[in-house]
Parts: sequence; structure tokens; C-alpha cells
Amino acid sequence: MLDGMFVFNAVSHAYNLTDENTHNTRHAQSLRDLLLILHRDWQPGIGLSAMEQTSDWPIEILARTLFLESDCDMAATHTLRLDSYFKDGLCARRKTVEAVRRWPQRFVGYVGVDPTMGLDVCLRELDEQLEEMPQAVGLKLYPAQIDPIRSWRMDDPKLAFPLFKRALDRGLKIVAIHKAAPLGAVPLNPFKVDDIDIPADQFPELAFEIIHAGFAFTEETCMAMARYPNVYGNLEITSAFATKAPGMFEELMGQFMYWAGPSKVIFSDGNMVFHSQPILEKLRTFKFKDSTLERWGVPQITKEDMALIVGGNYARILGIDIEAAKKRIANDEFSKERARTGIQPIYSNWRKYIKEGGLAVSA
Amino acid sequence: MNTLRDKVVASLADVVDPCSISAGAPLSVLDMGLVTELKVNAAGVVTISMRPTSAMCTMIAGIMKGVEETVASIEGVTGVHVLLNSDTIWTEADLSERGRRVLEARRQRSRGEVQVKPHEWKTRRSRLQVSS
Repeated sequence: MLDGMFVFNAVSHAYNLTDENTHNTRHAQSLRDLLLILHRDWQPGIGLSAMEQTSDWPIEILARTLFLESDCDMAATHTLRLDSYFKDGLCARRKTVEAVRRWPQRFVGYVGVDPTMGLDVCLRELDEQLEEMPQAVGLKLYPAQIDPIRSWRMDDPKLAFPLFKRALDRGLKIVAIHKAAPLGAVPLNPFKVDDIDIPADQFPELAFEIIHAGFAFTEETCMAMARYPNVYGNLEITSAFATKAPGMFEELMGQFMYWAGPSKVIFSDGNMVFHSQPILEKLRTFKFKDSTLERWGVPQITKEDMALIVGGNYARILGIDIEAAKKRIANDEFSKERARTGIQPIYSNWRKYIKEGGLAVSA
Repeated sequence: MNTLRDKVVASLADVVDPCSISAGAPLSVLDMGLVTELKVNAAGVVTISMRPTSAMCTMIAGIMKGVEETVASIEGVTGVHVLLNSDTIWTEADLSERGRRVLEARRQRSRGEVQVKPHEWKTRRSRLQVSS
């Protein structure tokens, strides 16, 4: 809890950045370097070395980092299908399944498919993953792959729409689409947000979250959030602007509030690439400067607004009752340990795990 | 007097940030505020420092290559060093006056084209609730 606000981190990841898992191609290696640099440079001084990061991150360490080292109460974790970059897609399906089975009171899970493989494969894999993890709440998608470079569109009625229909029929509530942050020096167009409008209109019962909202194409993202009740901006990576470039974060939040309002913004950070607590500390005291209020003509952000952003909106979308969720975690293993130790130092669990030789660190 | 430095500055007006093209507001690296330092020594060696618009920018290497090739083609330039400046953070405040005008015009045009009203989704939600 953050000053009484329930914190629901809408994206967290246990990557596998080992040499063995990273395809030996220019784009794949570059993406891994990019992730390592993000960890090093956007929250300088608190992270792990590149060598320590180039390992297979255990889901248990993610859980401990989230719930013992930060004020996060619940989190989502995604099965990632960046198969053309990483052999296991970057976050393996087994990790998502482990998270929601071991700690159902703490984690919600997303299944993942790669639409560039075609509709039949997507539908089959969606069904398979939901058989294995029926408690899944969402579907995670990437707009493009490499080697060969290829992409698909969210407004493709023959590929995307049947997939969304199946997701809806199978009870999923939300579709997360990675946008705005190109995965290396690859064509930019698939990462634009010009294909959200039609599916948002066609599938009003599904929520669509634009992951990395505000990283690029901010105005277009705002317009989608402004027009469609079911389009949300997910702050993965962009929330780290709060620590890396506070002025840029304030400008983004000003735009989001002006166009869409506090009900349309979802907090996440991509933990463990970023650590949640420094970002949450910034959000705890976040206020617009007078110049921002004047520039965007928005009211000052309130604690009620921030409570929506850090958890209320996401819980509402998923149909999770926050008071019931609080009760479920009140005496779980993380709450008990934290009651004994207090909030634990940043990345202390990950460091301890590596120090004790629990990880096979790449040479 | 058209010095070598003047020629270098003029040439940079032809190197356009690719993301600004995608955004419909093409701006040169100068108007974008990506060039943080430019030195020309007596021997004709040019040193240019550049910053990305964000730490996760994946286009900066290509932009730097474009700068290097453009400047190298100027008569009198004997060498080009394009350096990455990751110490300073780019914000919209770093746009040139012209850059700000171009971007604002693009934004105005977008708003005019799309006719979006702030918080319009609330109206649509109400309609959905009424009809259902």
C-alpha cells in the first residue's frame, strides 16, 4: 500500500537474458543491450551489473522484489512471445503459470501469442495456454518480429478480430499491445498506435491497454484514450520517467489528464528492469507545477486520482474488488515476512540470490 | 563570411530525425535540439556531440551515421567525429523556435482532423450504458 492506496503493478517481468536464450543476431543482441542499459541508466546506482542481469530471472525473485521491496500489493506478469529475439520469448510461459498458481492472491497472468505466425497457430496456442492457466486475465501481443522483419495490425479483420473474439469468448478481459517503443533499429510503423481505434470500437467488452503509453506518439495515444471508453494508457517504462526525467513525466501526465483523465491511466513499471519503489515514491508526492496546470488547463492531481492510477483502474478493469484483495494478501507469506523485516532494500533479494549461487550467470 | 562551420551547420538542416517524419512534423537534427556541441578545428576536423530524445532511442545510431556522411561530403572537411552525449536529457524545451512552430502546427492540424474532445470517452460510455 502506498499511503493507503492499493498498488496494482500492471506489468512485471522475469526475463531470461542469458546468452543461451538470446538469438545470436544483430537485432536480438541489440535489444538485450537496450534492456541492460535501461536498467543501468534509468535508475542509476541501484541496479545490478550487466553480467548479473544476463541471467535467467526466477519468478520467485520477481515476487520477492515486488512484494517485499516495494509497496506493490498485486502485479500482472505476461507470457512474452518475442520468439524471434529470445528462444523462450523472453518471459517463458512456465513462469507466468508458476506465478499465478503459487501466489494467486498476488499475481494475475497474461497468455501470449505471436500473430505473425498466423491465425490458426494463435487460436490453438491461446486455447492451449488457457487450458493450462484458466485464471488468465489478459492477452499480451507484440506488433512485429524480426528475421525476417514482419508485422501485423490490430485492425486486421481476418487475423486480429477472430483472435480478439476468441479471447473474449474464453473470458479474457484485456488485450495488452506493446507500442511506442520500437524493439531495436527495426521499422517504426508497427509501433504506431493507428490500429487501435477499430478493434476498440468493434470489441467494446474488451479493454485495450497501450503498453509504453507516452513513450512516443503521445498525442495519438491520448486521442485513442480520449475517444474510446475501453482504451487505456499503460505506463510501463514511461513511469520510469518519474525518476529519470521528471519534467518529461509531468508533461506526459499533463497530456493524459487533459485528454483522457485519471480513469484511463494504468501504473506499471516492468519490474525487475526497473524497481517499483523509487517510482512509487515519486508518485506518492506527485503534483503538477503551476505551469503545467496552466499549460494543460487541468485540475491539480488528487490522492483519489493517484489511487485510480496506481491500482484502482486496473482492478476495476479486471473486476477485482480491492477490499477483498487486501484481505487475501493480509496474512500471506509476503505480508508476514514484511511485518518481520520491514520493507527490504532495493534489489536485495536478487543480489542475495546471485551471491548464493542460485543463478547461473552467463560468462 | 561563409566559414566551414557555417557550411557544416547548413548541412545539418538536411539531416532529418526519422521519428519526426513518422509524427508528420519533419524536423532536422538541429531543430530537434539533438546537437549539443559542434567544433571545427583549423585542420577541418569536425566534432559533433548528439543526444537521443530518450535513453531508449533506437534510431540515434542511424541519425549519427547520417550526420557523419553528410558532413564528410562537405568540401574542406578532413575528418568527422560524431559522439553520443548520454549525459543530458532531451525534452521538448530543446526544440528550436522553428521546431516548436512546426510541431504545434502539426498538433493543431491533428486535432482539427480528428476532432477529438477531451474525455470524450465518458460520453461514449454513457451511450453504451443507456443502450445496454
